[in-house]
Parts: sequence; structure tokens; C-alpha cells
Amino acid sequence: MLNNGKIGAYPFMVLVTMFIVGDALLYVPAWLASAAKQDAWIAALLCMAEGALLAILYNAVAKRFYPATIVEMSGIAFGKWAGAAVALFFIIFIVIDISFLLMETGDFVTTQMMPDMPVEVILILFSGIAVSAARRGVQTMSRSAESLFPWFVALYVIFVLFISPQIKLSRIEPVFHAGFIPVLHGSFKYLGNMEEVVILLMLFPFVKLPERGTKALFLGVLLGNFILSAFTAITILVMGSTLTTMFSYPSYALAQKISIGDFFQRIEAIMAFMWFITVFIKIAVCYFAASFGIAQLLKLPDYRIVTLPLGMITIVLGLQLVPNRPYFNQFASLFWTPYTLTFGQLLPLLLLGVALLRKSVGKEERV
Amino acid sequence: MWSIWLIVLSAGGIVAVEFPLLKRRKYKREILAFAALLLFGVGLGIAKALELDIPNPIDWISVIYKPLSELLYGKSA
Repeated sequence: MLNNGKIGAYPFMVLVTMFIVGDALLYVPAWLASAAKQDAWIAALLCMAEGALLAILYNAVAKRFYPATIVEMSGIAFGKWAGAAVALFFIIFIVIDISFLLMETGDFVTTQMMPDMPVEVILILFSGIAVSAARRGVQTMSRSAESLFPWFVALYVIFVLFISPQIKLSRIEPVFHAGFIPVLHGSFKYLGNMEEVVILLMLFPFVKLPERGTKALFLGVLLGNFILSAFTAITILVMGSTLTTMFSYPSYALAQKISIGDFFQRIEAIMAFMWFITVFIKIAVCYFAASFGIAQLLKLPDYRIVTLPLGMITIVLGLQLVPNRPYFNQFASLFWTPYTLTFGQLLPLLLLGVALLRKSVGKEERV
Repeated sequence: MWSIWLIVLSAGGIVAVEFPLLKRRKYKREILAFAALLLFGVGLGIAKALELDIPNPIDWISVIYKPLSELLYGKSA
């Protein structure tokens, strides 16, 4: 159903990378530093290992159930009604994620760049382009990701190069100042962001060759995590952990510090583009996943019909779910990881477990 | 008040965009799903615009996941 064109392995990898970097580019340094202080980079490395393990788990699920999306998988694994209930909660999870992403964008623009702009305008504009990308299908989204990726990489490299003169190694000393527990707590906060990769399993069936798709997913996760880890390390090395936790957007503050020869400075707005690119891809993918999931759940012939109403719902939900910034911070740092664990960890494990059980009993209908 | 008009207007815009497709296919389930989602969106939007006291699902999630959160981050957090 819903023939949408298949995508190759490389575009899928780019999509995965940009999805992981997504909103995390602005938030991750602060989250990691708030728990792990100057050991944030160790926590980031730890997360890279966690991310690799997660990618292996997702690949196993995706390959076993290919070409089914998460919504179809839960139908196959848990039966009609239980499967529909699981799928519904999964879709609600994606919708909440979209609302958060939109609100993060709105909050960032209204607090850092345009203080007098009503946040609703930003939400409408941003969800507008993301919905229109989602309506054009997976192929279009992956192509736009592919064409935006070099720009993102170029901006990232410029950023890293220009801030590197200010690096001081003494800022990460002493290493392991408070033992391993804070590092672990920091990595948990980051883990919540990584678990969202499960949303990409909604797109996995669009990859032409599943074998190469799994490789692309794995590499994409590694690359995305590497970008974030390097970014966290640089933030800590330049600003130190105390300053990093004090800013709500440490990477943006970092860009404000860039100054080459006293004339090349104030380029943070250009750096914000880097973030807009990745967050746009992430929101578009989430919109597609949510509307495609709804269409599969309700057995609609076309997912496009639900995209516009969904856009409207998410704008209002964003305003409703995030009444203010401290509330969001509290939820994101304490409850987001446990919440995503349900869908990012428990659900794939259950799906895989059911599939293996069926196979060992020997009355499995389809692989 | 203008925000309610804006919500209704944008809902009308959405219907105008999707109407040709819905009319051509005449698929009952599709029309129902579209109408239900759109009505939910409009209702939510108007309730928000009137500043009604809508419950926040995030509070429920926080309550449900509190034990797991304490397990991960410790009680003090």
C-alpha cells in the first residue's frame, strides 16, 4: 500500500545521522554537563557504545520483520487488538515528540534570536515546511536530507575549526572527579534522545535492500553520535562545565565566542542554521512516521490525508504540553529517558522475543 | 477572539486542500479519520485559545514513569 518510492542506503544513512543530531545539537552538551560536569565527554563516548548496541537491536528487529513498519510489526507480533493498542501508544509517542521538537524550535528562536516574535508564528512556519516535506514522501525527504547534508557538514567543520583556538585541556581536569555514577546519569539523559531512533524503523521498509539498510542504520547512528560527542567535548573544552550548564543553549553561546582576528565574529546566526537543518529533517521524518503510522493503523489508502490535521494538532499540543521552559527541562531531564525506554528498548525487545518464540515453536506465518 | 477565527479559517483551508481527493475516492474510512483528526485539532485549538483548563498529558506520563526515573537517577533527582 501507499507506494512512495524506495530510497537507497546512502540517503538513509544521511537521514539517520541528521535525525540523531536533530535537536540534540543544542541540548546535549548542557544535559551531559549538568550531571557529569567535566566528564561529559566520557558520558558522550559511553552513549556512543549504547547507540551502537541499540542500532544492532533495531537492525535485528527491522531485518526480521522486513518489510513491515513498527505499526505492522506490533500487529503481527501481538495480534489484532493488542497490536493496535501498542501501535496507538507508539503513534502518541511520536506526536508528543513532534510537539516537543516544535516547541524547542519556537523557544530557541523567541528567546535567542527574535524576542518579540510570538512563538505561535514560529511553530506554524516550521511545522508548515515539515508537513509539506512529509507530504512529498520518503524519497523527497531523503533527497532533501542528502542535499542539505554537505551544508550541515561544512558549517559543522567551520564551527569546530574556528572555535578550536580557544580549547584548553585543563578544563576537563580532574577526570572522573566524582566517580562513575554522575557519568552514568549524564549518559542516561542522552540515551533518551538516542532511543528516538526507533521512529526511523517506520521508514526502514522504504530502503531498497534491507541488508545494506541495516549497515546504513548502524553507520548513521555511529556518525550522528560522533558528531554529538565531538561537539560536547569541544563545548566542555572551550567553556568548562560550569558555564556549559548555566546556558540554556551552550552551543549557541559557543558560536558567539567565535572570534578570529577581531573581525570574524558574531556568526552564531549562521551556526543556528546548522541546527535548523537537522531539526527540520527530524520533524519531517517524525511527521511522516506519525501520519504513515496512523494510515496503517486505520488502513487508509493514503497517509497524506492525515498530515495536515496532524500538523494542526501538534502545533496546539506543543503549546499545551510545554507551558514553560523549566517545566520542559524538568520533564526532559528526568522523565524523557524512562518514557522513551518503553518504546525504544522494551518494544523492540518484545517484538524480537515474540518473533524468536514463534520461530522456535515452528508455526510462524511470516518472517 | 481573532485566534478562534484563525483556527476555523485554517481548518477550512485544510478541508479545501484535501476535499478534491476525498471527493474523488469516496472512501468512508478515510473521510471519517480525516474529519475526526481535524475536529480534534480544532477543538483543542479553540480550548487553548479560550484558555480553558485542559489537563496536560505530560503530567500523567511523569506520574507513571516516576518509579523508573527514580531508579535511573536516584531519589534526590
